[in-house]
Formats: sequence, structure tokens, C-alpha cells
Amino acid sequence: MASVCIIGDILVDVTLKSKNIPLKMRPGGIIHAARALWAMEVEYCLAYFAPSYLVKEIEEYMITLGNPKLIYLGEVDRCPYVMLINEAKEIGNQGYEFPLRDKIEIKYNSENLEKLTEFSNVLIISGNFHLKKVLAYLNESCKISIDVANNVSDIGSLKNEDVKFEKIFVSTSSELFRQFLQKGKFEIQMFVEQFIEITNKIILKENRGGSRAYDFEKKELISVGSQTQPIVHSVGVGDVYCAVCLWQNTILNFEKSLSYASWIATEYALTTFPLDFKSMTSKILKIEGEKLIHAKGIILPWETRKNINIYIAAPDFDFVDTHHIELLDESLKYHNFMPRRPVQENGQMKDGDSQVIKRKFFYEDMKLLDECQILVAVLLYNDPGTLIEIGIAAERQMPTFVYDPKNIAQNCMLTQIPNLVSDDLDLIISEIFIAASKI
Amino acid sequence: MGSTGSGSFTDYGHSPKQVTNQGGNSGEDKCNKAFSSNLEEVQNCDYYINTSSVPPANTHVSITFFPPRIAVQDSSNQVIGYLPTKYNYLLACIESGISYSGIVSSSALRPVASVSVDISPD
Repeated sequence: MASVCIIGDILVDVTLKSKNIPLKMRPGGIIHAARALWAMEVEYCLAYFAPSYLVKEIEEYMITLGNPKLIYLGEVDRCPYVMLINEAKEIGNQGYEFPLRDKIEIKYNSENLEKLTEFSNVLIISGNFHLKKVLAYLNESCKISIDVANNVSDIGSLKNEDVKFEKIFVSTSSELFRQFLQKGKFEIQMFVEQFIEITNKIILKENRGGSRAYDFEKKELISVGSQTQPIVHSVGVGDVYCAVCLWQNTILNFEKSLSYASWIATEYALTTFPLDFKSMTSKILKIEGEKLIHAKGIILPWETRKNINIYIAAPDFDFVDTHHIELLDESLKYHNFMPRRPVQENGQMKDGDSQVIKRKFFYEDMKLLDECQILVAVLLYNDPGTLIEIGIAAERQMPTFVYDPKNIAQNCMLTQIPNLVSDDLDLIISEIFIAASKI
Repeated sequence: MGSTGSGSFTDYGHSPKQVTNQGGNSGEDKCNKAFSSNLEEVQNCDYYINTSSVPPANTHVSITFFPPRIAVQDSSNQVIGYLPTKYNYLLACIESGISYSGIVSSSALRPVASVSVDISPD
């Protein structure tokens, strides 16, 4: 019998064509977790909900992923079950579009749901199905873990399930996490304690800042670093993390299983070639768990990022198209950094302003720079203020990054002084995570 | 208006050279790739601390895992600096039996001690 069963939706992920990247269409939902189990050569089962038109495609496709046992739990109706993805790298909010999501109807197949009783270790990836309906069919002794994706917005609904989960995975991009933030200041202890009655372990996935997990039995908080680097995509990376952690924890201790999860999830984000992913996964599995724990990577907890003030040096003026600045600002806020925009905070100089007023702007901007730990310049044209601020920050040995969306940086001072000049915002965000983790 | 179609899943099938470039494998094993990089924390590493200098261009270097980082060292095993985090995957390659060496491509003491290296699998 399969060691582990993944339960959830299967849909079609379509990453829309962009300037540099062709359209990509591949099976998504729990197939991401399946790729991880296939790459680790684990015998597994997929119990899934999908529209009937996808069943044949899924059956054919899964032959290439180890041909696992498949259980069709229910037919999804009135929705194409196609996820349109605008921005695959989670530089900021990914902007998923799920057409007709409010119309979804599911016809549950009770005969197939009965088959869930045979499993002793399951990972549920929350979706559009009724969680209660699925839980009702699981054996009392079954270890049930759940990845709380965007369909569970508050912890109350999990508490009502009357189940003690083995592991609950929550991402900082999930609705449940965002709802918790509404309550005020984030503290990890407060966050994990709300789960004490309903799970043995809670795992908070913090994107490029690593992850933290609390083991209620051992009363132990574990931090695991992220192998932060520029990625190819971030779609399904969290699901891979969950599947690896779940499986590895059946053979290794919790901390080691989290470390393997972090490393293998990173590899998933670095390629869309399945065999490249499998090859690197098998190499990672050859590393001793203890060594992986020591190769810490980047640890930058969610709440710490709020203290990282990032000075945005740019011509942020009302007569300039500032959408590149807005995108950077939104992306930094999405990851909980504190972008500081001098023109927005201190005001915009007008033609003909007196020396006294100019001096006031200058002092206020320099004071703001003093409050910042990192500078990111947005190079829209050769704006003297932006260029001088790059020089000042670099001389102060502040991490200094230049986002150059139009590829205009040519001068050797400009290209060599900053830590990085790039037209790739994903690369800039990754480097900010790395630099911020060292502050 | 006409439409374009995505006929089948783009990572369908696991043999290389699919319709698009996203299925199967890329044909490249990143463990076998050479690379160039600036080193980090040069001022905090043995070489600079012991000699108050940086190794000259063409110095022979090798790579080793020096927890928690991937370190670059000279032939007398003095650590010159660390590779950026994005090269942490080399740990998986090293554990699979691949070793890496190379040369210092450039170095400077000012404005800050800095070393760049060219590395390739042996």
C-alpha cells in the first residue's frame, strides 16, 4: 500500500505568456506535491477532485510521475478548473485568476471516498471541496496533515472539524495568515498558540525568509533557512515543501525533514524540467540531514522585515511614469519590508523653490536615509538625485541595489559601485532578502 | 479574431526536446557547469586576517563546505571567502562526489577587500 496519500484538487495551471517567457500549461493543484514524491521515489496515492474532462489527461500524465494509485473523489462542475497565473515568481502578489470559482459544484463519489479509510498518513491540500466530507472518511488512527491554502480564511473553521491534525502548514501568503495579521502586531508565539488544540505541529512557511515550525509535544520552535536565490517560478513550491516534510518525517526527525523540505522546494522553484528536478532531488537526499541543518541559508522572519527600512531612490515625481517604482514598493510591502519613499514622505520640490526650501528637502531626505538600512534605486532615467543617493549609500557601505528596468546603466561608476544592478525585480528582491538577513 | 491553442501540457512526457522547452530535462546538469562569482566576507576570512592582503590573480583555489557556508580556499586550505547563497546547491553536487577548483580571476584591496573566482568541476 502507498506510504502517503495526497488529497486535493487537480486543475490546470496556465502561466500566461510574458515578454521573455512562453506560455506554460501544466497540471497543477496536488500534482505539484506529486512531483515531489515522484522525485523522492516514494510510493504514493493521489485522491483528487477534478472536472471529468481532465480525468483521462490526469491518468495519462500520472504515468510519467511514477504511476501512483489514483482515486477520483469527486467531479467538479460549472468551472473550467484552470488557474491563470500572471506573475509566476511571487515577486509580489502573484495575481492568480480562477475563472468561475464561485460557481463550483462538486459531485462527491462516496464509493471512492470510502477508499480513504485504508490510509494511515495523508496530506490534504485545502481546496474547493468540503473538508468535513473528506475528514469523515479517514480512519481515526490516520495521521492527517493539512496545507491551509487560500480556501481556509480563519482558524475557527479548522477548530470546528474536531480533528487533531499531525501537521498544519500555513504560508505567509495564505488568507489565514493575512487574517491573523489584521489582529495587530505579529508575534510567532501568539501565532502558533492558536493552533495548540488542533495540531501536533504547526509550520509557517515564510517564502524567501525561511520557515518556522513549532512542535507542541516537545515545546520546541525550529527555524529553517531558505536557500534564497533567483527563481524560475514559485507555483506549487509550497506544496512541494509540505509533501517532502511529510514524507521525510516518517523516516527522519522533524528538523531534518524541514531542512530537506526547504532544499527540495528551492530546487522545484529553479526549474520546470521534471527530470532536472528529480536529478537534483536525488543528490540532495544524499546529503546527511545534519549537514543540511548546518547549511542554514537565509533566515529572515516575517516580523523582522518590518524593521528593515528600505530607501527608494528614484524620480518619484508626479510628472514621471512611476509604475516601476510602484511595483517595487508593492513587492516590498507584500514581503513585509518597510519601503521609504522620500518624495512621498517629504514632498516634491517645485521649480523656483528658494535655497532655504531646497536645504530643508535635502536635510529631510538625508535624515530619512539615516533611518534606512538598505537602498534600492529605480533607474528610470539619469536623474541626478537618484545617482547621488546611490553614491552616498554605497560610501556608507549600505547594501545598495539598482533596479534598472530599462537597462540604461552604462557608466562604470554606476555599474560597479552598487552591490547589484539588474532589470530583474525577482533578483533584486532575492538580494534584499539576503542582505536584510545579515543586518 | 483567431485563437491560439495550447495543445497539451508543456511538461508532458519526460523525454528531452519536447514541443516547448519545458518538458523532460534541460540536457544540462548544473553540477557540471563552470561559473564565475565574487566572494563574500573576504575581510572576515583566514586569508585576509593572516596576510592583510588578498590572493593575486591566477591563485589556484578549491571549494569546500565549511558549515554553514560553501567556502573557497587556497592550496594551503586557508579560506579566502564564501560563495553567495545561490551556490549552496554545490553542497548536493559535492556530496554526490563532484569536486571543484579554479583560479582567482581578479582581486583588490580597495575600496574593500574583494576577490572574484572562476570555478569549474574537476
